[in-house]
Amino acid sequence: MPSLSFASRTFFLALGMMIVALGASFQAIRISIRNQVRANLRTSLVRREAVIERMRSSHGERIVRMVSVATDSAGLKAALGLQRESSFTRSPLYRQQLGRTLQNQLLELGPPLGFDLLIASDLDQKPLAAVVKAKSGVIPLDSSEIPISASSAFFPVNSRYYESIAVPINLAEEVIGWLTLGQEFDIRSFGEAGWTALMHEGRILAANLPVKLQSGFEHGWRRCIPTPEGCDIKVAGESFLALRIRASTIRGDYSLVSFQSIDAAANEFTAGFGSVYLAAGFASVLIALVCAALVARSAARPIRELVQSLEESERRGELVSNTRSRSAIAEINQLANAFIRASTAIRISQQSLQDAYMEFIQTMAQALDARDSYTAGHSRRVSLYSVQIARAMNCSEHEVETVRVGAELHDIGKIGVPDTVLQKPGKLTECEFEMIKQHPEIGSRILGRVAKFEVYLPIVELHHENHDGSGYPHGLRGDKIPLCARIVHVADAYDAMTSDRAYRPRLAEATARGILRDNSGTQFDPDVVKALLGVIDSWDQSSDPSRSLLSLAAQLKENTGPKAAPGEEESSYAVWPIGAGPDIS
Amino acid sequence: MGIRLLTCLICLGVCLPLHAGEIAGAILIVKPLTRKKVTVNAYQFRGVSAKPLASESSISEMERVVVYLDGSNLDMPQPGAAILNQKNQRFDPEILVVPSGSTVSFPNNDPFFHNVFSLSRIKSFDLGYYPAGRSRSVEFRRPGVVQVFCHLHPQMSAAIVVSPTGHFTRPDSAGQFRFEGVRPGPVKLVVWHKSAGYFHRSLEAPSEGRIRVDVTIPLQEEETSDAVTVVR
Repeated sequence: MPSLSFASRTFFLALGMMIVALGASFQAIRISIRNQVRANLRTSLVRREAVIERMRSSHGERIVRMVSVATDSAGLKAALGLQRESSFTRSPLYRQQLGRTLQNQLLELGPPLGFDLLIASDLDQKPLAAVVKAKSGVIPLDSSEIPISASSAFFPVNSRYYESIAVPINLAEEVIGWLTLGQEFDIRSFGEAGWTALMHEGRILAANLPVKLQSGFEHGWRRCIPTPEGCDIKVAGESFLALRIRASTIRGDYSLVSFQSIDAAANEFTAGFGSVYLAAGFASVLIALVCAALVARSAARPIRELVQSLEESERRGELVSNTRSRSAIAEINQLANAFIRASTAIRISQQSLQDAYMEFIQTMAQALDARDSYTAGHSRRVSLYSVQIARAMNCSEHEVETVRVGAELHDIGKIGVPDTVLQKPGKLTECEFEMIKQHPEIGSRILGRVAKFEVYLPIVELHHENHDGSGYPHGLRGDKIPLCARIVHVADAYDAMTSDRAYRPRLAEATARGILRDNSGTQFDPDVVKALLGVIDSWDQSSDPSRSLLSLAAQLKENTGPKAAPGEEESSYAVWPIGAGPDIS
Repeated sequence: MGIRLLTCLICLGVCLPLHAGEIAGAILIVKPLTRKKVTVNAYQFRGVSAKPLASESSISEMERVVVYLDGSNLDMPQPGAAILNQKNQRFDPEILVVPSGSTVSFPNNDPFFHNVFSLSRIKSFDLGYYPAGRSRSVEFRRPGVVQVFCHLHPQMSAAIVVSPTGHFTRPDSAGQFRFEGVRPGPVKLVVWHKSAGYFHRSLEAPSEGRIRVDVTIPLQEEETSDAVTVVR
């Protein structure tokens, strides 16, 4: 998985969230507009229908009044009155005659009234006679074709549908019958009002909507609970407002339903917003981009600065105080401070580890010295001389340090040599001398187990190799022996000669010098001997030997750290440089 | 022999009224029969059944009722003459009962033309236009109901009830009616209501005493026999 930079991560996250938020709000606006359009459309349709209905209602009332005046015919009334007489002699023939009489009256009334259907009915609106308008003019309707009751406002006659108005026929104070005026219903007249369907018991009888959608509308309408507000149905994925219209006349089992496409209306309304949407969306995405970039930059900058500052620290090898580039972000500052604290803690712990390590080395060296009173302070002095020599030979500080520590440890292998051999006052046997000769390798083995002591191994192992290859343990010669081992070899020999030993007293300093000079080039490296002699001369030139001693002790004290007891130091060097003698051990 | 027979007949004729019973009763109208005039309103247009307005002047149902007896053994009535006035664009009276064979004259007492006509089966006629002050008359032989209208004024209507016998009457405001001197034998009590039409009931007229017949219109079938109580 590729790792993204913090800045790009922040950028994409911010951009993504902004785009999601923008998209959601756009969608919300779109839905809300759509709903509003839908509600408005519904309200306007319902209102329009109510207004039309009211107009029709008052219009219809006027028609009824006019018709009732127009049909105020004595003949019609006289004919209708006959039924009161016929109830005594209820003969079908008489009834037929009555029907004929009424029919004649209707035929006379029909053409001037201009209605498509006229039905004269009795008080209970039981039809007595009817005429209908046909192509050939107004013709009487056979009694079998007359609808059962003329009271319904919408009924079929000969597979045509009629909307009707019933007009009472009054005689003096009472109603004696009804005249029903029918107008043929034609679905085509609703063409302008949109899709309209005449429904009967959930089925479409006539409609001006596409045939393939009819079943969908039937299904939708059946599940609809008719309210004056209409109801929503979905046909072929489109939302329609189904609204019952002309409910005052088309009622009972019949209903006339207008289907208005809400989606089409809403689209018409929202189409104008399309370009605005697009522009606003584009602008918003641009803004989101810029914002995301800014956010990413401002979030990543302090971290970048911190990284830069740490890199600088790495380059310079020390911790740079971060106060210069303090960030405006509290967390970043905390992070930087924590980092600095951690680094400091690590440095301190490294230092204390280093200190502990140094103490360990000294302890080991002192442990060795403690075994043999004659060699007490030997390691420390060798170390001191070696450092002087190394400095005189222009070694680097690092090499000087290696020499200093290595010299302190150079005889550590003597731990593995028995005391009887080591402290034997007399001359050593061949066998005993062989045991002594093993101490460089023993020391190398002891220190070889500690990785940190690796740099000192050549000093410990090879400080008895001679310049001409006559030394031990490997018999290396000349430049094959590392310089630090050669330095320690000379310093060791010089200190051995100028110190008391169990088997002899110390040699005079001049004697020791002579021996060094004599063996230079054979046992000792001449350059190292030369350097040592130069160092000793520099000591001699100082007028007050005690002073030079004090300065040396002070130097020693400085090098071994504060833990070395000053008294011990002084006692170790109190013998210096009184005696000297040749000793090669 | 002929004289005895004649005497006998005369005796019979004198004696018969002595053997005549009385039929009395009451007419009970249990529901309004007249559909009161409807004022057309919006509801009318909407097809809701027209309800008569409560404020409409009440029509007395009893005034629209005529009662008469019909029976083959009853006396033939004495024909008479009656007048049906036309005044203030109304017929007066609006219900007229005459025995069959009577002549009814239709004087025009309005200062304009009227044209009285009838389509009724028992006597259809058209008296044509005639001006104020003139009168025309029609003789009604067959019993039954003749509804009379005026071509010029569609609101005018009247009914002439032609009774087949001399026993005809109109109930009082409480619906009470009474026929005296009815020959015993089967008779038919006919009640005619101007709006509701005919109601009739067969009775056995008593030879003496009185029977009471309560007629509930519209007729309630279970009462047809029980309603007749004989009072001696």
